[in-house]
Amino acid sequence: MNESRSTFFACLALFWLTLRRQLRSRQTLICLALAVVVGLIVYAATWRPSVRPARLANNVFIPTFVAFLMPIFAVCYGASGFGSEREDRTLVYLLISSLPRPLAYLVKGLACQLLVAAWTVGTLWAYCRIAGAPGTELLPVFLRASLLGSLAYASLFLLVGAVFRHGTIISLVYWFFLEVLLGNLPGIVKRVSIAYYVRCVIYGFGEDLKIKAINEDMWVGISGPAATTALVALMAGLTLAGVVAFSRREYADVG
Amino acid sequence: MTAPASESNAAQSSPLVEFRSATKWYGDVIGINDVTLTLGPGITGLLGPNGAGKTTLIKLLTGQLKPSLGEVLIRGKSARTAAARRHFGYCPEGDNFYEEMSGRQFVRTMARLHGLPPRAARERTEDTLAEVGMSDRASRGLSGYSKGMRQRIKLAQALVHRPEVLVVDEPLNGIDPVGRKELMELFRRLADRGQAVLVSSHILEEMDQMADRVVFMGRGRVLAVGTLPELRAMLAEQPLRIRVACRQQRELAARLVLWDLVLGIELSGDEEIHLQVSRPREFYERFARLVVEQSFDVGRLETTDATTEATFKYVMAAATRF
Repeated sequence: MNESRSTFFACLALFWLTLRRQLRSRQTLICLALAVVVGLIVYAATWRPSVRPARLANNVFIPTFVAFLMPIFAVCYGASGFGSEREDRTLVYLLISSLPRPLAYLVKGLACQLLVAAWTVGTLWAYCRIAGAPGTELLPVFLRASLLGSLAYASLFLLVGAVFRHGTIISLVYWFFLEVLLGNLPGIVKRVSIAYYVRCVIYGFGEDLKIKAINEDMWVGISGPAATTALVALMAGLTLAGVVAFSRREYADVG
Repeated sequence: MTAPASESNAAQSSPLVEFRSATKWYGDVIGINDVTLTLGPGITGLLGPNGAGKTTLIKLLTGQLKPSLGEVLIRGKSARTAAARRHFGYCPEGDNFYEEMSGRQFVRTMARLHGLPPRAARERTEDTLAEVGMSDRASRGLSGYSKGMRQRIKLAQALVHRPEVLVVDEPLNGIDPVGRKELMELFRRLADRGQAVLVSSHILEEMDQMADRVVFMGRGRVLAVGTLPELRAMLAEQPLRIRVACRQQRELAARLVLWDLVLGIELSGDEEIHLQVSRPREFYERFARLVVEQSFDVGRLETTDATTEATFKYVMAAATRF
């Protein structure tokens, strides 16, 4: 059979296999449970009809959805993309398949990114609906930032899962220390976190709705387009790093 | 001739598997050391004690590891490339699967990961399941399989894309005698079809029955390669144990004990003599002359340690002198 046709079928098979296994995993239950909790918080916060979009964004959407739920989706499906295969010791079957390793990484990554994007967009849409009119106003502002942010997170955690044996734990530790702690420090040190750029996109494109940092003097933000570019570049860089790492790495412990 | 066609012909004429001075280091620890080896059709047994380098050799062959020095080629292509992976099937020792699947789904998934279109994958899956004797049980969930059934499914996934080289790591572990016999027959069928089957095992007795040739490994090196008779000839200087049944037991023993070739002698029962001899070929010639000239009534003459086990012991003993 033609080699490129055979590679195409193998890619397709890996894509569906990854989607199916990830969707049927316990990560889906975790995502579902946390999404319901955040949904209840959004519902409680928008109980009073007079809530303004900027207030809703700063007090509810950014701390619960952007800073918490979105990275968790990425950890669940990103880090476990290769992490679960390594833990289950089934990665060997992927490594001995006829797929070139760079392509295997990209296809698996694509499937994981798709799940992360679907959860992010789906839950954001649901929360905006729950929040009513102010939520509907926030949707376009948060959509771009959340999508880019979640994909950047997923690229990072996919790489972590491919490189480290306990990718999920390392990803959670990274998220807590770098994103939650360092990402909220005053000054420019927070620029090492993905969350910073996500919030810059929100503040940059949410000016019309008066969405801005609570303590603007301490924030030291960059423009929305610059933050968007930074996130896209980060995503591309992390994906490239993942391809290189996965292609060169020796997995001696996988079966 | 077009370029791709000539490339394909070149690949076909390359040896199936070739290790060229392959060396693998894990930090300061050596996995395998300067291994040069060629594998062709037939069953090759890979033998060696723990830490001999068998697993490293297999992982290099299946592209999971890359050599620190030298190269490992499958049909002339580096074992780490996707092109090389099309030529081999690997049945790992680990007992891990996508447990949520049935045996049939798992084999079909592997067929598709090897690039077979859906219909071809379905057909090949059925053929392969029939070949490993799992057609009737393949719809059950993998998590409910016995050790033997899991081993067969692992073999099926390695065979489903019809590879030229089958690499099997400890395939007979935990399999009942009937299952072992069936698997050994399967390996024989594959070898008879021209496939190269590399079987790693520490069950030497089975290698005796199964392997066309054996590769002995120790301390990361290939110590010996060949058929068992070849290895025996190679190790002709090694002492050999021989059992002789003779009615004139004591008279024969009295003669033999004077020979410098006879290192040890032991009488057993009324007729048997157990000998340990050096330079076996020379011993057999002198022994035949003695029997004819002195009219000894020899009922049986046999070596008791010409098995792989004995050869293995000799090779390993020789290895300690390196």
